[in-house]
This record gives sequence, structure tokens and C-alpha cells, in this order.
Amino acid sequence: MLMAALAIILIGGCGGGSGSSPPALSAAPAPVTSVTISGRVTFDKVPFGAGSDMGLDFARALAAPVRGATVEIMAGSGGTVLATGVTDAAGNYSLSVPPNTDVFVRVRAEMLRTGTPAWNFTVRDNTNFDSLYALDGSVFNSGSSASTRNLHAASGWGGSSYTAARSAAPFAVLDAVYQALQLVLTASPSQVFPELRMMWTPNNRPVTPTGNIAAQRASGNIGTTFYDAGTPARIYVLGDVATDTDEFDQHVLAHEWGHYYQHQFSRDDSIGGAHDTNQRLDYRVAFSEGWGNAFSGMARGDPLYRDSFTMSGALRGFTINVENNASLIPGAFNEGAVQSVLYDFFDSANDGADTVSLGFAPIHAVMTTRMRTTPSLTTIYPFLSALRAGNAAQASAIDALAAGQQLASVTDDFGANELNSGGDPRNLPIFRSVSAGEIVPVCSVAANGAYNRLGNRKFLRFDLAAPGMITVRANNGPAGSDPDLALYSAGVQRGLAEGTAASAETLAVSGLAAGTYVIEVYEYSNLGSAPRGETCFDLQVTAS
Amino acid sequence: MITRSLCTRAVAPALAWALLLAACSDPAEVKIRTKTPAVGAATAAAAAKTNKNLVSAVTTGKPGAPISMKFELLKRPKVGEPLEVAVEVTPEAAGISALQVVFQGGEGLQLRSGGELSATATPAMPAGTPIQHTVVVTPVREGIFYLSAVAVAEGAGSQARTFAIPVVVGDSAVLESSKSAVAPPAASGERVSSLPAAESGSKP
Repeated sequence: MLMAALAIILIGGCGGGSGSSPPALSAAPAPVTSVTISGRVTFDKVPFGAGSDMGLDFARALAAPVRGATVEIMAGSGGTVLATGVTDAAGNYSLSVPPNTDVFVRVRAEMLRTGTPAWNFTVRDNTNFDSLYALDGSVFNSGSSASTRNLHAASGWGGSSYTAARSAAPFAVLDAVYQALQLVLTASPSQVFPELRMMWTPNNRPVTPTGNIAAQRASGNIGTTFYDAGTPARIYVLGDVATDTDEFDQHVLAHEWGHYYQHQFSRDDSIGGAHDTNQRLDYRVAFSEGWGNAFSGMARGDPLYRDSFTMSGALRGFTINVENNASLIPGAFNEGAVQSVLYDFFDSANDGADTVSLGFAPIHAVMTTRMRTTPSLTTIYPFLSALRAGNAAQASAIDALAAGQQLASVTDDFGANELNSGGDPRNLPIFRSVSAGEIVPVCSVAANGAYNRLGNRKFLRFDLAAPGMITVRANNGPAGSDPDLALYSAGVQRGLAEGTAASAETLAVSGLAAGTYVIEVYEYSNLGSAPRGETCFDLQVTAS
Repeated sequence: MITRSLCTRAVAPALAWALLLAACSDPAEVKIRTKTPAVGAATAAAAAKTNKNLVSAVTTGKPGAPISMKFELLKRPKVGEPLEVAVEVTPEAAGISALQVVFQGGEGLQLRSGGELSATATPAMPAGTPIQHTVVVTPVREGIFYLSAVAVAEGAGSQARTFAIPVVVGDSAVLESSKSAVAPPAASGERVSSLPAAESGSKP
């Protein structure tokens, strides 16, 4: 803090003189060059009601600190930044500005840090040119002494509806990011986080965009709250008061941030698509969504995932207990089972088969190493395999916890010894090993639905002994069938063949390094609205 | 998951929206079939680049009830004229024993009938079998409005999913959707959406 003190200098006598008092000289006050403006920034944090189906309870809103946000003292005219700082964990800030100047305090919906660690998180309006939200105080004169300016972002709720600006919303979104960030920093204090933009506006409604997707999103038609793995990464957040607002749904935001984490620091091979805790899903989707749910519980320190919505004007909600072990269809293909074991690895509470309390660091270690590089796909299996290997003393406990969700004790990334077929033996093995020249039957099925459900896509593992070309042929399909093929190396798609030739398909990819490859095979119609169901092909892989 | 129009009696394409509204579905993630040469001798570098783009196209949405919804506006919306909206609600997972969908007209749309759809089954509804429903609304003025729908599915637990159906009344080209004020760009040219703060504290 710079203080301009009034200095009074007494020049003492040097002896002598006639006994008269020496003259006392008072210097003119030094000019005040700066004054301090400090204060606290808060926002309305709206909790849920007590029951599991209760929605937001505005009557219990609390003034929570805006943490880690950028604060600016702006010139009263608005165009010039006079001072910049960051709120602390209690929402406090303190800045020095020129005296006797018209200014206002601006709190940007932004957490920005350079160096190590580093991050760049902002909350923006996708229907307003991606403009950054900012909480602005009123213009005042900085005067000649310190002053306090506390800013509060109110929810805008008027008792039964929104009646004023929803100033709290961007800062509630930012707070969810802050908490997720803190969790990762506990395991990786020097982490550099790629830019992430949180896109929220009251205009974001659950209209699924069609046609020009970018234009639709710019109009607020985002479909749902979701993570967009573009550059920069974005999380679109619903804000439609008529149906669904997510700015106060901290678990929903943390779930999507979990996808950001997996995409940026680990690897996410998920193919997306509709998903639910009661479905048998593609293994990649089950892991990705189970991870998102579990991460939300980890970041929040609360296993009760809650999502609010509005129904007939009433504030409602629903709850998912990510620690709940009672999945109806346990297995690696079920996101409920995946979220349960992941959260139980993390938490300190033991329940059921859970005697493991690893915290986040070992999970982060697995996600950022083996899950990122596995030659398999990002299913629960490489996670279990690596967690088990990295925590040998707890291998038995890890196995027991996994077994509670009918997951095999695995020592490889491909789940080679998995016996849980999801009730359909055609789903095993998960990755069938195939040798060069060998012909193996492969059947794409749609017993669990289409596109991203268990059995739609079948996987094979092929080890290329020397650099060269891999050629995959699917032949002898039934009349009207349409096999398609893809080739992956550590999650990177090296080739895709979606020809229109009936009953057969060929994929040839050259310039490949020696190593392990995953081949994906599917009947094209089993991805769409008119699946033909079980469709079998003869698959042959050759190397040259 | 293919987006397909239900409109066999399609009117203006802009009005004939038909969507598959599902958990994390977004057209960006719907696989658009781009038939490639049967033999794709992709180089490793090119393949890697392609894959990166593919990953970027994947969107992943929040959890919710396993319900999808399609709809069709049965005629061009006009002010004062009842408009039938055909809706198809489909349970996308086994185990749903009860389903409730509540529709709401909201601004610009007066709900006339079909405001609620309820269905129960013992022990559960078959996955993939759609339920037909009709909602009637009357546009009260020109503009872009939204018929909202909230679906709650009961099964192993209770989960919800929300939808909104756009209804364009009048000439959409001249319609202006409401926009919040844009503050003047800062010195950096950055656009800022200003929100009001409640302030307290001592003044100099």
C-alpha cells in the first residue's frame, strides 16, 4: 500500500543562539499520488431444496465470495483500466488508483493466471458476440483517501420469478470452475490449463440446433449443457428460465468440466451420443460419462449430483448418487457402474465393497499417463489396470471394489479376462485379437439400441510386427448389409472406410509404425434410426 | 442417431423442424455419412489430423432422462390460428415405468390443449417404442417463440430432460430476437456484457 504521509520536519537547533526557539518549518503536504480502493465481491449462491426432487431454493441463497476473479478499477468513462487485481479466496481485493478521479469497480467473470500454474477461464455470452460478463459498480470519485467498495452480484430472483438482471449467474458458473480447478491443483500444483470458455446466457435454451450449428448456438439454441472440445474449448450452459437453468447446478457444471479435464489432460475416445445410467453403452461412452459424474462428486466433495429444472412453473430437480453401488446393469458398459467405482476410489468413506480411499492424486496420475497413451481405447480397463499397478498394496481392494460392479480384475488395458457380457455372449471378448491372415467372424448387433450402445461396434486388436501397411477386409455380409471399418492407434484414427459397396468393405492404411492397433467394425445401419440388428461379417487383416 | 424430419406434410423448411432431442445429442455429433473411397490409404500424418478434427466434433452433454423427442408443426404458424404440433416421445432405455411430459407455451404462444402427456407401464415401457402426442397452441403475435417441454422419467430413479420447440410466427427474416446490451469495446477491443452490482461500503 502506498501511503502519502504528511511529513513534518523539525530542524533542531544546533546549539548556540540566543536562547530563542529555533524556527519550526512545516513542509507543504506531499501530493497524494494514489489511494486505495478495497472491498469484497460476492454473489448469490443458490442451493437446492432439501428433498431429492427439490429444485433451487432461492430463499436460502447465500452471499458467497467471488474467488480468483479479475478486478479492475476502470476510468469513469469506461474505456481505460487504471488498476488490475484478483480476488482472494474470501472475495477480497485491494487496488491503488489515482486520487480524485472518477472510477468504477469492474469484476470480470474471469480467472486468469500466467506463469506456473496458469489458467484462463472466462464466462461469456454466446448470443452476444462471445462478450465477457462483468459486474460493474457505479461511478464514484476516488477522492484523496482510502475507500471501500463491496460489490454483490444478485440472482435477480424476485420471489417467484426473475425480476432483475441475473448478475449472479456468471459468477456462479465461475465458482464451479474454481472448485474443480482447486481439486486438480491438489494433485498437480504446476498445471497449465488450456483456455476454457463457459458460454452462458438466459437465451441458452434446450433447442437442438440444426443446419448452421455455429449460427444456432449464437442464437442460444444449444440443445443442452455440454462440453465442446474445440479450440478454445467451450462449455455451453443452459439459462432458459422457462425450462432449465444450469448456472446454479454446480454438479452439472463440474460434470462438463470433467469432460474438459479428460479431453485436455487425459484422452477421451468417446463417440458421444445419448446416454443414461440405465443403458448398456459403448465402453468409451460409459467411461467418459461415468468419469464426468464421478468427477463432479470429487470436485464438489459431494456425491449427490443434482440438476434443477422448471416444470409448470415449479422449481424441481433430480438427484444421482454417484456413490450408489446399486446399478441395475453393472459392468464396464454402464456409466452408473463406472461412476460408482471411480468415486469410491477417491472418497474416504467406505461402503459396500469399498475399502479404498486414494484421493485424487493417484487418479490424476492414471488419467494423465496410461489413459492418455493406452493402445486400447479409453474404457475403464486401462484405468483399472494402471491404478492397480500403481497402487500394488491396494490391488486386492481395488479388485474387490471393481468386482462389486461386475468388473473383472484386469491386468491389461483390453479387459482380456472380462466375463461380463451384459447378458449377451456376442459382446465378448471386448477386443478380439486377430493375427495376420486370420479370418474371424464379427457381428454388429443392436440389441441395446443404436449408435453408441453396447454391441453396435465391435473391436479387434492387431499387433503390427514391422512398419508398413495394414489392410482390413470385411466380407460375406448378408444382402443389404453395409460394413464399415476404422483403424486406431492409441486413440488416433489412422483410417476410416465407409464405402457404399454392399456387404463388403476394405480399409488399407500405409505408413504405419509397428505396434498395437484397434480395428472398429460396425454395420452402418446399426448406428442410425433403422438398425438391422445382428449383422455378421468375415473379417481379415493383412500386413505388408 | 440420425436427425430425420418427420415432415411428410412439410411446410416452409424453416418451420418444419424435426429433431432428435436426446441426452447429449447435438447435430454436431450426429454422424454425417461421408462416403469415402473404399480403400483409404491415408498417411499417418493426415490421419492424425483428421482424427483431431473428429474429436473436436464430439459433444458430450449432461446426464438426464433417457427420452428423445421429435416434433412436427402441422402447418405454418399464424397469429390467432390454432397450431397443431405433433410430438413423438420415445423412451430410449429399458426400465422406465412412468413418464410425464409437461408442455408450456410461454411468451407468444397460448397453450390450447395437450399440455401434459402421461404414460405408465408395468413393469416398464419398451425401449425404442415412440408415444404419439399432439399439442395445440395459438400464436398471439409474430415472433420467434418456444414451446417448452419438460419430461420426467421414473424407473430406477427419477430423472428429467428438457426440450424446446421453436415456433416462428410471421416473417422470420425481419424478426429480432431480444439481445442484451453490448457495452462499448474496451481499449483492447474486447466486448463486455455489463451486469449491475449492488454496492456497499464507505465513500471517500
